Amino acid sequence: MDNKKIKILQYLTDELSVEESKSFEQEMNDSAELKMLVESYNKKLSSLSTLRNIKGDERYFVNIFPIFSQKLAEKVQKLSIGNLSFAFSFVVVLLILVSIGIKSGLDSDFQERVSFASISDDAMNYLNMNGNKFTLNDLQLEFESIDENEMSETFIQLLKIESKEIHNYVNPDNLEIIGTFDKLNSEEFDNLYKSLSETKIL
Amino acid sequence: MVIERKDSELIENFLKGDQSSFKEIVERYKDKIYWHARRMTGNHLDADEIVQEVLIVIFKKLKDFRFQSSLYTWIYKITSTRSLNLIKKRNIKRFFSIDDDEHKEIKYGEDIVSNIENKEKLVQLDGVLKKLPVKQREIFILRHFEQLSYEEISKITGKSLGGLKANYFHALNKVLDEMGE
Repeated sequence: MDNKKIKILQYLTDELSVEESKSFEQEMNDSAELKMLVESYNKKLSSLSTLRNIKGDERYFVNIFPIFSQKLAEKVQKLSIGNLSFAFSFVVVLLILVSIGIKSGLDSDFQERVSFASISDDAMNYLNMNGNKFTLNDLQLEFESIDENEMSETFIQLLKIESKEIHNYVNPDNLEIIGTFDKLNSEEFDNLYKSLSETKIL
Repeated sequence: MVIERKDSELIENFLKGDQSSFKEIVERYKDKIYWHARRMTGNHLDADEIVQEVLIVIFKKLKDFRFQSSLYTWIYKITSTRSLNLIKKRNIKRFFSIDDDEHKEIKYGEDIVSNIENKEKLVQLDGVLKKLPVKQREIFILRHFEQLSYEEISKITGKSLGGLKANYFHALNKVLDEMGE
């Protein structure tokens, strides 16, 4: 963008000082071409300003708070149910692990190891009892009862992988993982986006 | 005569347990949240999703509000962050081709703007704004539509005043050029 255009826009948006404005007006008086250009920009700017005043259906705005209250109540309810189901599944996992622990080890096809560093310490101690580590698939059902943040942190670990592997995890056929994007909080999402951007695939 | 309570008073009352103060905050800022999100994302459904997310965040985080900025710049900051995140999310989904056509049809079919003239203006605006890089779009919307000062925008975006001005004029120039076509 050239300096003349910048000056015109600054003049039309009142961003020049009084002295600068006066000097610019003098320039306009001396140049019919400049004056015409300013007028054309002024017209466009007025047209753009009318777009500020678009109104939406008032009924939508009236309902924002009631809908929020309802969602909040649902969230609170879900949280208490989530805590209960987490406690329940925690006990189930514990029992399963104890029985697995009696056996000599995990099946040999557990090749793909996943670190669950982001799951709470207590849960991790139980999950990794006897040095066992579990694959994503093994614990998929358990994930459903783990707190959303813990789950998304786990997924962010999974997704922090080299660019070649990203395509393996994140592809249209693997909607399960894709669905986790919706569960990431802002910070996690930024991390993910950054790591994807760094791989230059976005 | 209705005396409008100050934001700080509403926050204090809400933190003391007065739920109606939170409602008043929502009533005061809901339009601004919606229209900022709407201009950023370019469609009603995404904006509606952001409105509800922002309200939940405000409800949860208001206890941490330290009065170091005004409530409205804080709310704009949350709205902006949420909008940017949603746009990034959409970009990722689009990259992996999972934002299907059916979803797009629903997105653009449902709207709170029914007046044909307004709808046309909005479509025109969305088309123009989408051509701006997302960060530049954010600055342009905050300055041109929300009419915030550069200082306020700087608090929201964390950018320097010089950078903001340069970005704003670049965006304005592009928008005006597009509008002239």
